[in-house]
Amino acid sequence: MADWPPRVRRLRYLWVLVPVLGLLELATNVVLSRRAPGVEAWRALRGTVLAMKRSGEPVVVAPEWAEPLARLALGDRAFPLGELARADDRTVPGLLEIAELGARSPAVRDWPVVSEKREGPFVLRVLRNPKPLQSRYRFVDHVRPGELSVALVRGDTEHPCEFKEHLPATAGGLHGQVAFPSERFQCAGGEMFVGVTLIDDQDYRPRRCIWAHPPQAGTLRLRFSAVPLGAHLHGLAGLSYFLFRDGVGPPITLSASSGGRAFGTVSHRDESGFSGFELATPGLSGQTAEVDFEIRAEGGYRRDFCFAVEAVE
Amino acid sequence: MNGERFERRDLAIAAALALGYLVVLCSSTKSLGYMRDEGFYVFCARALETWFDHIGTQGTDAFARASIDRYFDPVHEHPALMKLLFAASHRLLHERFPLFSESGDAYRLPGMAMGSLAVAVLYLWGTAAMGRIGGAVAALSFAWMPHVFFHAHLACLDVAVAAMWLLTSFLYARAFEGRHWPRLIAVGVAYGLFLDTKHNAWMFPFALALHLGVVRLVERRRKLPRTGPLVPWALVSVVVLGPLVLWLSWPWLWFDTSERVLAWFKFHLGHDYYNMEFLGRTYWKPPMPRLYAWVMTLGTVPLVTLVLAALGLFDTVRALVRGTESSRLVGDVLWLVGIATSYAPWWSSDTPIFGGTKHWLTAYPFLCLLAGRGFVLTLSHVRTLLPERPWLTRALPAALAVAVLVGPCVMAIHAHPYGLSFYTPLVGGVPGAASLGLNRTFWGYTTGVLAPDINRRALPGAAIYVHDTAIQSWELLRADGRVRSDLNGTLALYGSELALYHHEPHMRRVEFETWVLYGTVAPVAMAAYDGVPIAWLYQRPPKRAEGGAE
Repeated sequence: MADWPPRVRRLRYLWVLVPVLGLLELATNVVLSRRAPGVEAWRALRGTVLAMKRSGEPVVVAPEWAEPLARLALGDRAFPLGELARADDRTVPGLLEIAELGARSPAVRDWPVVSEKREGPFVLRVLRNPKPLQSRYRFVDHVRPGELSVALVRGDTEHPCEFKEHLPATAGGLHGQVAFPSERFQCAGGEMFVGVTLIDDQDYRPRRCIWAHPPQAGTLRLRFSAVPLGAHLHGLAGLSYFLFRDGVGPPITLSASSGGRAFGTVSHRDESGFSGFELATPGLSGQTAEVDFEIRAEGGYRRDFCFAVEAVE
Repeated sequence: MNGERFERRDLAIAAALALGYLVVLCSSTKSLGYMRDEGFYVFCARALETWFDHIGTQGTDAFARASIDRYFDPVHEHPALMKLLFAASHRLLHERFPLFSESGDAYRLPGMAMGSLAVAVLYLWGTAAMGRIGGAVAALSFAWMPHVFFHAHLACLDVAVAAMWLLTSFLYARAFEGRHWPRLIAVGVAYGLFLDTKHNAWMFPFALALHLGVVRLVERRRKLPRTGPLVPWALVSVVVLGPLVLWLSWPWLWFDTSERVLAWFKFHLGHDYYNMEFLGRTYWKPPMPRLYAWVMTLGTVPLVTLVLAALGLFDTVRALVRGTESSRLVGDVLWLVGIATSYAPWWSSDTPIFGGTKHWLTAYPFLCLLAGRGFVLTLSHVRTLLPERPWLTRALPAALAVAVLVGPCVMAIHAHPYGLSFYTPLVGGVPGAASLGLNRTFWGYTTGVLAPDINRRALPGAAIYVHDTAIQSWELLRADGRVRSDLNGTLALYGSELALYHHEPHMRRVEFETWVLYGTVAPVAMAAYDGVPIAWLYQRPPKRAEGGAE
């Protein structure tokens, strides 16, 4: 090494980098471990967030993994279930984004920022949806007697499903059924009911939807009365992705109609996750009408179907 | 590596390192909840404790088929050695002589002792190969690997099997050359016990065959004298004595031996796939990501250890290719083969990844031996840069060792009791890993962190939904008084008053069920590590009827 050129010989000092790296890694670890705000910092944000939060405009947290801390600190008022488990963002007029560590919510990164405010380690941004669909009727909010009637239809025979308010709310854990709410239209036999619950989509995110398990033979019909219609029915539908991602079940079809006038039929395969569809309601925009959804599946054992539809302009 | 005796001083240092590590492990169990697998192994151990009683009361009848089938049946997919040690430790050190006040600590002691054994062997092998400072750095680099530190606490098999792989390799290297019968018997017995620890041991004979091939090839290419007989007696001992010791020490195999051995193989070669998150995607069926083992190693082993290991690898390979001394050959190749074989299954996209880093934990002792060599290399070069002063010469090794070990030590302690949630600064620490979509936790053990909240909030006799915590693990927490004895663990969300949730993306549906049944999305307590939520607790709001999702 002694006869090497001085420039090359200087490289031997690189060996010092090894212990330096050890100390640098330690320092970086200490800095990184203190960077993300803890629960107390989140709690300090509560007043500000609740003052800024507008009804119908969900709170989103960036990065997403911090959201449970936000829910703990800010409570149900900041995260109404209908907003937290919304089907998608298309009819949302705006959002309140709470960001830490310089993160942004990928899904709304392109939305215009109406206002931005720094509060401790957080940045609070009010975002406006650049192209919101105007929702006229969100079906999932009307699953109650007087607005919805449910029946199992086999040939010419109809078996009404009775609305119950105080059934046991049950859940199956990781490998079992989704939560069955205590308020539901209970049909004769087994798991046949219609009610509002949550399923996990293909990203394992929550989606609030109308549980409508089709019968093994025949059709499950949901009839919503007095629906103010727009130009389209915008919907998403699926099954619990975790349970049905193997995609071995037969397809499920959902048909929508009003007064015998068909809007269209959607066929859903299990492995598609919670996927969207659009059905036109031509000539009915601005009118109020009865809307039927008919769900069926050939060989419909464990067809844990759930859907969320909005009438939109 | 040759078969020279160790100096008494080195044996004392090795014992001190092992004992020190054992004390650190034993004194840091209180905040660490029980893993799912610990619950299952303790269940097995309890059955074996009953078998011990039967030996006392029924004598040789306890060894009859009916008795063996009954008491060795639980979790017979894994061999008996550690389960027997868990049982013996609990029976002796908790029940008979109450050295440990908590039963969980007594069950964990054999696992912790195996971690300590690995530290001692690393020191001895490292010292023999590259001097005391290299041996010490190797041993402590292993001890302070954050994921190793976590696994070393557990009544599980993963650190134990890493220790047994290391020990058997060490004994193999010492027995390789000659026909020293005690050493030959020792390596055969060690392999039998290695087989009786976990199925990773199946790969060991293949590793030795590869080792022998490489050693002979290098000798031939470099025209070195052959070390020992063409086929070493140690290999014969491993192949012959090992299975015999396995059969003797695992009574489950005494009956229907071939069927049970085949079933053992079949179970592990066709193991179910469980879910594992990696870079934002949950993998649950093949193809599994081929980068998994490498990225997870980079993300969980301190970078300084990896850099030292890389330097050591460079030096080792260079010596194999260009070196002239043959004394290192057997040991060096064993280290390389130990790493390569341990990682080999994850070259295949069909190999499950559900256990995270524990799958290739057997590679880490050898990685640390290379790190020890990398340290010695670094020390020798840094020494040339400094003025020759006696005090500096004396202080430099210790100063450098502190510089490369203090980081891993602090990280390992800081990782406790979250363990598996730990990630190094290379991936941005715990928050960075969460943003990258790397698994935050599994095995349901973070219940231990939330135990004080559960105790404080639960009404007398309340049912607690334990989610990913095995009921057996919950019962251990209860038996040890970590959760109140009046609280009942349940897997039925309906009727529970408090609900735990351990975060993994595919588990979220359980959290959604809780939202619907409890009527709230707001947890009441959280186990957050460096600001990243790991596990949290829901409480059913008072007087709220179990309602719908509206």
